[in-house]
Amino acid sequence: MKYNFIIFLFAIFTCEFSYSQATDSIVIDSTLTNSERLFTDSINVLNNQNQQLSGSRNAYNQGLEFVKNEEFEQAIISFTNAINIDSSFSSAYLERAKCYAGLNNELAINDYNSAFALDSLNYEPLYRIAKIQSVSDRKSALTTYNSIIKLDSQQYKAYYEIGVLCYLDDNIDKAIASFSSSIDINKDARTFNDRASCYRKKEKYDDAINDYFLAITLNSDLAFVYNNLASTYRKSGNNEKALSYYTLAISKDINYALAYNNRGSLQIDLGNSIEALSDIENAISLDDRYAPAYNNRGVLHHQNKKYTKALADFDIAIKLNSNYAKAYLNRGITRQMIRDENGACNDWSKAKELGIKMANKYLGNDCE
Amino acid sequence: MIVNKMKNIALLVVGIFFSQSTSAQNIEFKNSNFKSDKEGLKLAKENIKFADNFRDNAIIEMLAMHDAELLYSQAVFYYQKAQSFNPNNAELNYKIGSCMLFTNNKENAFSYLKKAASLSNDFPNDFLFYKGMCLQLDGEFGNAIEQFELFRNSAKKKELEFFEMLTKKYIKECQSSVYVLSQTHRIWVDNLSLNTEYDDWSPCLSADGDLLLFTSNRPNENSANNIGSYDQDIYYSNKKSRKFKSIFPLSELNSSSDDVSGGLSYDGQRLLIFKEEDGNTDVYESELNGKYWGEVNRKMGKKSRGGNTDKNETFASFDPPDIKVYYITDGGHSGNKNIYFSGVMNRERNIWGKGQSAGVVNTKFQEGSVYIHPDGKTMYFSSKGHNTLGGYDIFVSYVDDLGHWGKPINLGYPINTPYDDLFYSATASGRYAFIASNRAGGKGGLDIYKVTYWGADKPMTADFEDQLMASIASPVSDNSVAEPITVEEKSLTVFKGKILDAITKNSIAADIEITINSTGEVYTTLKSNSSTGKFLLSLPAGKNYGISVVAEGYLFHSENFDLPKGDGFNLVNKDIELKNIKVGSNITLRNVFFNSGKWDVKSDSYAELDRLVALLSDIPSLKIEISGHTDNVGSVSFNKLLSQRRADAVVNYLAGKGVDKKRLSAKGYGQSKPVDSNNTAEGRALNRRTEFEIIEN
Repeated sequence: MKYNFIIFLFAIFTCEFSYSQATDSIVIDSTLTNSERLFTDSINVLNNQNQQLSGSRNAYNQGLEFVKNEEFEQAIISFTNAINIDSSFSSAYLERAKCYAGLNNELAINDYNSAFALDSLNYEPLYRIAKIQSVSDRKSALTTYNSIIKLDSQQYKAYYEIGVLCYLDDNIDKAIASFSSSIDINKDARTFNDRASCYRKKEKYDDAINDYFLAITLNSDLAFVYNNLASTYRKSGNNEKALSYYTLAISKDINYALAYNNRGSLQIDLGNSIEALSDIENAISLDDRYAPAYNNRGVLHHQNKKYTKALADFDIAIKLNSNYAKAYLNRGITRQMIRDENGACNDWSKAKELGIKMANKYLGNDCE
Repeated sequence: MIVNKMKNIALLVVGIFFSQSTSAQNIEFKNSNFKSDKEGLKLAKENIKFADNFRDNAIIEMLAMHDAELLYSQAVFYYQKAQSFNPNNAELNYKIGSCMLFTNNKENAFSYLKKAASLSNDFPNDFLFYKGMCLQLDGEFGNAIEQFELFRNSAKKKELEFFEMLTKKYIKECQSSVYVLSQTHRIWVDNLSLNTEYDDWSPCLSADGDLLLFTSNRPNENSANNIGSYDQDIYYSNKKSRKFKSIFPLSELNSSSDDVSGGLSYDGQRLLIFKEEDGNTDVYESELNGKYWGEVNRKMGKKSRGGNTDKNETFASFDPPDIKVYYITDGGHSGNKNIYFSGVMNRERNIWGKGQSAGVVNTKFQEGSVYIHPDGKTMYFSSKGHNTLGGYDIFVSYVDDLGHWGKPINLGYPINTPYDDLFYSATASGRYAFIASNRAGGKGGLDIYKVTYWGADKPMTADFEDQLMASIASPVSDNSVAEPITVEEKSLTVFKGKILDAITKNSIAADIEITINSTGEVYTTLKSNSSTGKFLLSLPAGKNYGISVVAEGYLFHSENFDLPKGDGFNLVNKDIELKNIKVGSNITLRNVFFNSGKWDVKSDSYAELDRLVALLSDIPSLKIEISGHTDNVGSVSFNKLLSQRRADAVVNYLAGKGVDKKRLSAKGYGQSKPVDSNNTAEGRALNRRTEFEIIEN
């Protein structure tokens, strides 16, 4: 029985493999027949190949472990080892590229390109390339996303990303078109959210609200969608609904500092200073480095004529964000109230420098 | 007759009451109380007698509604000498307190009256009147009215007869004060750091707010007078870093007698003062020549002519077109100080019209100062009449289309207080003004205060951020900033700058003419300062103006500019450089206009070209080349032809005005000599131009 099995294997491997091995590396067993020797050789080749593949995978797995521990340099070495053993190892290129990204984008892009060349059915490397490009060269990023669509017109993610880039470029109409293309292929809550934000920017508040609701229908757990919906109601003048949706956003994520701050900001506008202070202080307790909350508390203090406290809050906001134009504008107003005219004018100069036109008006009127 | 009656009442109200006092604390001026210092007692009594004389005369003036501040100050000075000998005499404390109420140190009056009350409980009737005045100053209007009523009820008939008018007036003031003070005004009033314990007053501000002149009797190099006061001198301060910190005496105008700033022209180049000659004061004018103020010349006509009378003309204000002078004269209603105006009839011969009352702004009480705002439509003045809160208050009146000044409006608290608040000098924007006041809390006497109008509340901007893009982690801030309510401002624009030599950058004294292009009307003429080259004027916004600048030895300069209406900025700063008249100099005629593609000189170019005619007439040796230039719109050949025809048209215009054609040549350069990029609309506008070059001189 054992003999028959060996014969069977021999038969298979003589048919399947035809590796040529350097004869000086193989110890020739003169007792074996020619067929037996061919069989043995093929087994050796198979073992070597498996050993190499195993070494490559081990190095790859080791690389992943390093990544997990954020030891990226070590990870790069491991992925390089994996590639050295198996130069067609697409995933190793992909993972090494991820490690290079941010450190050396050129190497990262090279690796992503290699990964895609080795596995052209996986578009992830191209998406990754586009992400890198979008930081410094949105035009190239758009080209890359379009190339993905050219390869596969059903790539809704590419349409989505084009939409985001267009939004950032303030090309809102094109952004809406891209998000719509993405939605036509795949209905996703986030895409509806983003298209809604485009409508909001165009002050088409009804369309925006409609899309935010569609997003909520697809995924009712996204706190930021409720927050965005609330702010859209606020912009459209429906403060009552704005208030209720900020509250819903907070109920979806009780640690959502941004929604607390936004609700507090709305309470300021509504003249509810006690509620506003409570919300804003919640925002600060959740994120004590969140500058807008300090700005808003400063506004509240100013409105209550507590100018010293207001100044202290504006100071913190500016310390957290030295380019916080609104905080400069506000601090200038408070400084004027305590008759620090030079301080006020300096703050308005800074706010003007940071792009607030109103500051220019104050400078003209009050800083003669 | 009435004066005698008043003298009697002045004597009636003092003396007899405190002498009957039995209070143990009250120390009488008698030998038994000062056995060891009879000489001191004698001197104190002499001082009191001397002071009583001033006081008696002061009361007469006061009851006649005349200004008695000096007499009361003299009385206080001598009373204080006696007070330092014996501070515990009820009558003396009463006299000091009652006199102080009419000086610039009225803030301290109540402490003397209170001390008098603590030393004796036996007062003359008018003590209640003066106590009422003190309570009014303290803002206790209800209690003040009570005291005035008590006085009316207890005063003898003759006594009341003289005081009745004032008592009624003060009661009315207290009643109306409650309303006036209930009106909130968004105004800051700040005491200036340049103030002293002496009188600092009569602030005069240039329209751009950069130059402040004022008057002060702070110690100077002259000797103090018999009551220890120094003569009034004029000082000035230039604004640096938004503050008036350093002050300097205006040495050219200050003398050993009183020198008082009366009114500053809006560009800060001319000053009205008043000075005494032959027993009465007239208004004089001095002009800033470079760094120094020139000799003073009588304004408003020659002596006893025009606005000048045998009465005292004092504080005055220019009006923007420089046609009238508004001034204070004590030749008004019943010899009171009123606001009058006089208009120029022949400036070269200094002939001015007879002074006329400014109308309803005047009262039977005193008007203390007058200021016409650069808008020419608004008068700020101080008065003890109308609905004053007490003492002088500052009022505003607006002129109607017929030139009549409207019903005065009290500027309210905190500009006005129950103390004396007077003078008003503002920037063209109206955002800032300076006043003088002897209100409580100052540094002593009259102080200068800066009035800042807040305008509307500046809205604070609460911030909210959203995660608008789901894939972008950092939130996006909402960029909107709330618009504040527009600050109410005068719709004037201050146009200021310097005239400089284009090459050396030296200052030039130049004649400046401002023309309204739509009508060709000359709006105003002025001169730049020879030392600084500075000029300043205020112009109504929303018009297109032409400015032409002429200075000896220089090519005249002209350009047109728009002052947009409703712009938040109300200050246009423009330096103008003049070119020496040298062969090779060329100048662009910015106010020469043609229709697109046409070469007929448009009528709104005539003013500009007429100035060129005048230049050629003034300098017969000048030969010039008129050159036409285009932008690059259109073909090269068309542009060359068009520019040649336009240059020819200008030459023909000049020749038509009498300029010898031999002195003129015309050349069209087409688009070959651009001065800016043809890629922008602005650049192309600059390239489309007419120039002239001096080719022989």
